[in-house]
Amino acid sequence: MSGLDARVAIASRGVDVRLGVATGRTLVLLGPNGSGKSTLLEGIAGILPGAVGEVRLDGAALGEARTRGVGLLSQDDALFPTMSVLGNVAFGPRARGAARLEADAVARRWLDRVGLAGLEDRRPGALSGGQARRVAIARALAADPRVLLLDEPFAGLDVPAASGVRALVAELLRERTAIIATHEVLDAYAFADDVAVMDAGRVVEHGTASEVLSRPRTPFAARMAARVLLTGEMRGGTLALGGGIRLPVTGGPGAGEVAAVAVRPAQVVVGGAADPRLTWVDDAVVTVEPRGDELRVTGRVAAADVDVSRAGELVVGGPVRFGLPHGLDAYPLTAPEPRAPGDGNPDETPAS
Amino acid sequence: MTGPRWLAPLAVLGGLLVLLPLVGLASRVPWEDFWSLVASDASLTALGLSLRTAAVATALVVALGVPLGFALHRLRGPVRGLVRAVVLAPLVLPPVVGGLALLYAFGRRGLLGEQLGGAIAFSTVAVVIAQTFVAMPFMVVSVESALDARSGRHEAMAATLGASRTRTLLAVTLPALGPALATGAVLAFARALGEFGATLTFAGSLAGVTRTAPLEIYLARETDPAAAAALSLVLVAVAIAVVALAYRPLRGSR
Repeated sequence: MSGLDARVAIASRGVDVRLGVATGRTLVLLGPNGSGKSTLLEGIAGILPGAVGEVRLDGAALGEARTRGVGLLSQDDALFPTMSVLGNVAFGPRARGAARLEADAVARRWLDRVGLAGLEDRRPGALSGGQARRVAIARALAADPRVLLLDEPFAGLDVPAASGVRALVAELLRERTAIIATHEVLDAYAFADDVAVMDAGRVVEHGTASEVLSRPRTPFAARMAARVLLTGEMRGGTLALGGGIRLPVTGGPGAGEVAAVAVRPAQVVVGGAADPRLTWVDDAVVTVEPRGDELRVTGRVAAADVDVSRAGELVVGGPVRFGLPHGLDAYPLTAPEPRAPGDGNPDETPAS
Repeated sequence: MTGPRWLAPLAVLGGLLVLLPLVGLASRVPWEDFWSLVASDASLTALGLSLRTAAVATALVVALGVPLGFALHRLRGPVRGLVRAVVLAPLVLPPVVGGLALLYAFGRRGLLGEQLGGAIAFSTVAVVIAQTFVAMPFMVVSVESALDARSGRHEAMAATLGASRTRTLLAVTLPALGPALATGAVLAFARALGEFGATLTFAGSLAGVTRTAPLEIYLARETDPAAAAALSLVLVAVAIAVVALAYRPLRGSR
């Protein structure tokens, strides 16, 4: 296969993953903090002591880190504090044998690309968070990596800086083979050709962005994609959710097959008057969580975003009626095939 | 942080214990003859020898002590404590014992006596070896603790950027260890400059060959106390300058 194919396992951190990305594509690795994303990226870059596994690029096994051609943009930037900005960016070209003048010229070009021309002589300690992240990006790319790994590239930046870096990354990743680790589903929508969802050191779902984001197969992946997974059995154009509830859907497999819809909480209504365009589900409130002007009400079956003014009606453990919209895209849900040895994915049994 | 008041008189007492001897020394220096005493042939020869040997010893301490610090940093488990104790022993060993040990290793009848043909003991080379022996622990400790404080992130990053281990060491690790190296080198130089016991035992006291400033002071003490006091004051000045220099970078960076 043309592209990156990695198997990384490290028992001490409970990570065991097989993951690939084809040449020229961007894979967004979606997972909560602590799910092992950084560990996996370090393993692919070859800087994880004690890791076992194998990383192949275009079919050839990769050796030690310095010969891999796998660039890593780490969450902490890790700029060399004893070098100037220019020295940091010129480090990669120098390490690959370029003469000083040539390396400096390459570094200047990259600093210009990331919008930092004029800061060549600064020390990393004198940079803002956004500037430091840009220097780190320039440094990684100046080394001319064949694959670029970005670990939470927008974390820890204030809003304007993060937006600027997002635009820069979007531009620089075009045509590049890259993996972006993030806990923000926004990044998956913005950058991903492919999406992999990681949970507790395992990849639980992996596919094209549209597959994983709009047709997740596990409740966990659905949550990472900011959706709620409703599973049931197809019965003549409706999805039978159990408890006698039948939700009219579009598409889906033949009658009797297990299927699912992934609904966005914003599409779900709470309480309110009878509406023929909605199907009502009686549920109990599990959590109520503020999100800006809205509250996310999560029950056992569904979840909805409602106006904050309705906080008084919603008591944890108390009853809630969710109104589910009709005509959601239904898709067949068969037990996911095991992807790799050790890819211990507890098979998802459809809710009855 | 402010301690209880009763610390103050004890602090004054401690300060006096350090200060009074220095004042006593200064009181014995015949100031009108100071320069002629310091500039006497014997004094200048001894000082020159001290500066030369201490400089070479410091270079050796850097060349050997830094790798030793790296090696110690790499060790794990109880072995590390044991190796550290052995490597740092010259720091706490009575210098005479150190000198004796050197004699039994490199002297005419020492372990390597036949191979070396007795060429080392009682030569300037012996002075440098004795000084390196006692001064190296400063560099080893300094490098080891500075390495322990590093996460290794920068070195890992350098590897992903394609750098060899040698380039990473020279361009990333050693510059970051700058303050620790400076401290280790300055303290090592000071210790080498003040070396007495091991030098006397292993190298003897041959004028112009092994008689460094401390040995010259010890000899002149009875024949020419004024010259001894003057030369002593020079070493005091060097010591104070060195300590002032050595502790500044540490305070600034951490």
